[in-house]
Amino acid sequence: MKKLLTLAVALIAVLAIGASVIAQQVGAQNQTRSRIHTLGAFGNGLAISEDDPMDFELIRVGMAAVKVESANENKTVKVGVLHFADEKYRLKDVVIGNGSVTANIYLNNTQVGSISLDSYPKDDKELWAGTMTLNGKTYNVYLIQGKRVVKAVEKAEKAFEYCRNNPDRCKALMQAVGKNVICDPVTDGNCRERIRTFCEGNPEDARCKALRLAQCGINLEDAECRAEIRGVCSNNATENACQRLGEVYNKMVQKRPEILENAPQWFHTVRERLGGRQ
Amino acid sequence: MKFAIALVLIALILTITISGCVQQPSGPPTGGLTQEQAEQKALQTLDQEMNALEEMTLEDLENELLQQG
Repeated sequence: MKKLLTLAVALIAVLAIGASVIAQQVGAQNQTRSRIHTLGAFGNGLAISEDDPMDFELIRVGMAAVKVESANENKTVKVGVLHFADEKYRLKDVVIGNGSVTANIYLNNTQVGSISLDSYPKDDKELWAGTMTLNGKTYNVYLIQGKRVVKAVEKAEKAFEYCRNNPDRCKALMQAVGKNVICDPVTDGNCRERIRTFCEGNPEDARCKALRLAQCGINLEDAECRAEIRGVCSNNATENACQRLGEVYNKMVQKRPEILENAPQWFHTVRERLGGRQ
Repeated sequence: MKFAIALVLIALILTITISGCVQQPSGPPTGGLTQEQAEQKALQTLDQEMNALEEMTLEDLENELLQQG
């Protein structure tokens, strides 16, 4: 009787532990995390009919490259959404370039139009202008880039990417900030992961900010990076990244010279420096 | 003997209950993400961000857009 009892207890323990382990494994598989990697056009605006200026609609546009991580796999997918009147459309074939975006507009898996926008600076903001065709009508579109709270994990990702792709510069930059390096990305293979973890916990650390800005300086297709660089340029327009950003916005000036009237001072300074390249 | 049988039954019920709470994910058996699953998750994230975007009235927009001349 005692043997039987012991056997039963052991069986319960084995079954319970087994089920628990399976539950944890499957639970881990189900865990997918996602975060914005590159932000394109993102904000509220107006779509005004090309034929009739009184025919307009409030719109809301969002386009982004989103990093999706599961237990076994990472994927970066570009997605977009358009709210026009009371209808919500999905944007596919999203292309996020340096200060420009394009996408095709879908409703229930049927293409109903397309949108193309270019960005330009106005004071400390960024605006988008372009055209959209929707259900056979053409609209001029104006959008004000919205502000979002950038998560610490997204900020840390930028520092991580800079150190992964430029270990020498990453180390030099941390030294230039005048503090100890977080770790040595040149000799330590695990350093970039440690930088990610450190910067996630300390996003406003001077080294993390410097690394993030350096990554943003070479990643100007990201609207949030352009916003970071604009902040730098309004204080010091001679930074190299300002020249690169100036070149991005200059493409829009060539299409619509009138935007210079309300452009921020740093942009005028950069354009003067670019000189004959206009 | 009856006690042992009762214990085994409890164990079986526990196992079935716990297993029932665990839903196998759809998609490839490797546990990887299909493109469609990744896009759905990405859209969900973008939607959340857009919901957090500050509502603007037509008046706000007019002011912003008229200022640029």
